[in-house]
Amino acid sequence: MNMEDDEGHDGFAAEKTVTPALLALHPFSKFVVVSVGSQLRVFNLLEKCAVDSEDINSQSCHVDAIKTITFSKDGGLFASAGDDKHVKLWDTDTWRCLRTVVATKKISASSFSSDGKWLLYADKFGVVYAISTEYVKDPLAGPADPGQPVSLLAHCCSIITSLKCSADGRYIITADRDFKIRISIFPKNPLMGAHEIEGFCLGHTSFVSCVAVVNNNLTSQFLVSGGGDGTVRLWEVETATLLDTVDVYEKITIANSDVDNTAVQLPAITCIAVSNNASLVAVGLESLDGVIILGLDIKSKRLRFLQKFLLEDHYCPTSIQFDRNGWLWLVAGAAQRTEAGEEKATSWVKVVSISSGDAILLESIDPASLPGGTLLLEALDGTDSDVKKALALADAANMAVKEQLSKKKYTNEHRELRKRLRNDKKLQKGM
Amino acid sequence: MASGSKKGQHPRKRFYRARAHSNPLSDSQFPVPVSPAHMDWSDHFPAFFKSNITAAPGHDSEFNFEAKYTVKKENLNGTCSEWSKAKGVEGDSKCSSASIIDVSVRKAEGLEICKKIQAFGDEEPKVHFADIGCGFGGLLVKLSPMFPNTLMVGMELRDKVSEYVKDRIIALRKENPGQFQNISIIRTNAMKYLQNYFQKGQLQKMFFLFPDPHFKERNHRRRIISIALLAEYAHVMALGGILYTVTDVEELGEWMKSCLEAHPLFEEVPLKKQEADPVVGLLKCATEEGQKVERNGGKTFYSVYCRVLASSAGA
Repeated sequence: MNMEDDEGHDGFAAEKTVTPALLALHPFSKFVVVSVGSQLRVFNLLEKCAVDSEDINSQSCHVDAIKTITFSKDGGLFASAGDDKHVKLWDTDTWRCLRTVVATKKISASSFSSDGKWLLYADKFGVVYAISTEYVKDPLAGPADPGQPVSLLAHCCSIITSLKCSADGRYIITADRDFKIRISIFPKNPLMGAHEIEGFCLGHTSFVSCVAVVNNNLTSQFLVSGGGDGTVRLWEVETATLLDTVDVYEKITIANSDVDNTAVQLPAITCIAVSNNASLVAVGLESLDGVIILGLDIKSKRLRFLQKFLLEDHYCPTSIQFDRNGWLWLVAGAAQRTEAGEEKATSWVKVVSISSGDAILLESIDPASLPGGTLLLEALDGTDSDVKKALALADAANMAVKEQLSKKKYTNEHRELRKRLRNDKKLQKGM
Repeated sequence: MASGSKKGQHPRKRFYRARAHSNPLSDSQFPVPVSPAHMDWSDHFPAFFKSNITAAPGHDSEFNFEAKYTVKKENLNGTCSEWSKAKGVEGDSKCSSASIIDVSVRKAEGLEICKKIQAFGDEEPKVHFADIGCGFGGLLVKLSPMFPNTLMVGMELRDKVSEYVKDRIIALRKENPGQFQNISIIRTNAMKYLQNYFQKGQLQKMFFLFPDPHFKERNHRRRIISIALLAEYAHVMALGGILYTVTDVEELGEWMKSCLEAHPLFEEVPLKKQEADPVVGLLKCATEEGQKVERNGGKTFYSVYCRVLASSAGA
C-alpha cells in the first residue's frame, strides 16, 4: 500500500475499484461517449454507427479506470483521464489519440477552457494542471517540445470532485471534498499559474460531488452544485453567493434508506445536469431508482423541486447529460476490477425526454427512436447485457465514491485507543 | 478532560504537554463553520459583542427596540438548530446605529435569509489580525495592548496547545480587567479551513511565525507557505495588508521568500517601512519559539510582504 497516496485519508486504502460509468455528449450531438472502467465506447450519432478507431480499442488506451471524460466547447477535441494517470487528448474527427500526458497522480476531474485552447485537469491531491491544446491537431506547426503540464492552482490536499470553466471564459470552478467550491480567475497566461481567487461558494455541509455551469447569455454566470448533504444549490459565480438551496433528500422519501445510528448518512447527489435552455436541472440521488427534476429560474434566481421520476427498478444513474434537443441521456453502470486483475464492466444507457408545461412529464425514448436504435445501445452498453449486474454495480460504485469522499467518523473509544498507542503517550507516567 | 489550570489561574505548560507536530492533512474532529457568515465571534470577544446579551430596557443604546432574534450556535451540520423570535421589531429607520448581519438558515422550503440585529455602533466588529500556528500564544499576548481596538485571533491545530492558550487568555482577562479582550484562539486547521472563518479582504495582518519546516521534499506540500496557499491568503487579506513570516531554518526562509516573490499578489515591504513597523520587532522575541532561538544564539530569517493588486505587466 502506497502510504503517499493514502495520506490524509488516514491510511484508508483506496482499494475499492468500483468505478461509476460516465457519459459525455458531443456539444452538437455528433457523438455520444460512455466510459466504463478502462473502456471507452463511442457512437457516431450522425452516421449511426459505433466508432472503432485503432486507438480506442488498442492495448495502449487506458489501462485503469477512467474517471473523467469531456468534450471541448466546439466539439473538436475530447479528453479522457483517470486512475492510470494518463490524460489523453482525442481528435473527434478521426478519434485518434493526439497526445497522452503522463501525470504524477490519479486524475479526478477535467475540463477544456471555453476557448478550447487549454485542457485543465485535477488530481486527487487537489492540484489543477493545464496543458495547451494549440498545436495538438497540427503538431508540425508548433514547437518541437509541446511542453509539460503547468500547475495552475491547488485546493489544500483535498480531492477535486469537479472542474469546470465558466462559459464566458473568465473563471475556473473547482469543487472539493472539503465542502468548498472555489471560483478562480482564469489567468491571461495560464503558464504563469492561476493565483487570483474570485470567491468561495460555501454552504454545502458535506463533500461537493458535482457541479454544472448554467449556459446563459447574460453577463452574470451561474452554477448549480450537488453535495453529499443531499442538497442542490444555485450560486452566482462572480460574487460566490448562494442564491437558493433545494434539500432534495427532505423532499422525497426513500423507502430503503439505511439510517446509521452513530452518524446519519444522508444520501448524496451523484450527478447533475442543466438543460441547454437553463430551465431544468436533473440530478441523480444515491439509492434512488430514477432521476429528480428541478426547475431553474435565472431571472428570479430560484431553484425549486419539481418532481421525482422513477425509472426501472434499481436504475440508479451514475452520469447524466442533456442534449441540445432537451433529451436527457442517462447511464447507470460501473466497472469492477477483480483480484485476478480482470475488469468487469457493464452499463445501461437510457434516454428520456422531459417536457415542462403545466405539469412535468418524463417520457422514455424507445430505443427504436434513438439515432442508431439498437446499434447505439449495443455499442454503449457492451456485449455483456446482464442488466441486473449493471445496476448492482452502479449502486456499489456510488457508495464507493461516497465513502472515499466522506470524512472518516471514529467513535470516541476508537480515538482513545489510538491515542494510547501513540509513542509519546507511552512515555508518560502518572500524568 | 481535566485542564491543567484551576479556573482563572495561569496555566502551567507541563500539564499541556503535546507533540510538536500534528498532521495537517488528516480529517478534522473539531467543528468548522459552514461559512464566515455562520461564524459566531461573540463567544470569543464578549466585550465587543455586547448585544448578544438580551438588552434590558433602558440599555445604553441610543435607540429602543423591543425584540431580538437570537441565533443558536451552529451544530456540526452547519444548520441553525433553532431560532427564537421575540415580539416584532421596530422599523429600521429608528435603528440608525445598528448594523445588520445576514445569516442564512436552512429551512424546509429552502433558504430563508434571517437577520440578526446588533446594537453596536455602525460597524460589526471583525477580526483583522490572524496568527497562523500561534503555538502558546506569545505573539497575541504582546500584540493585544499594542492594538487594543483590533480583534485578533490565533489558529492552532494541536488540541492541547490551543487549550493552553485559551486558559492563558482567560487568566489574563481575569487578572487585568478590561484588557486582553481583543485576543482569542481557535483550534482549527488553517490550511484547510481559513476560508470558513474569514471573508474576502478581511484580514489586515497575517502572521506565520516559525512554521514547521517539513524538511523532506515529499513533505514540502505540507508547508504553510506555498504558491498555492498564498492565493488563499491573498484572498482573505485586504489590499495593503501585511503578511509576516519568520523562521530560524535558512532553507525554509529562502523557500518562503521565493514563494512570496513569485506570487503576483504580494510585494516585499521596503526595508525602511519594515524598520518603522512596530510589529516587526516582535517577530523575533515575542513567541516562545523565538525566545528559544535567541537563547541558542540562532539566526532568524524574515519576510514581510504587502498584499497588492496584480500588476498588468507579467501574468
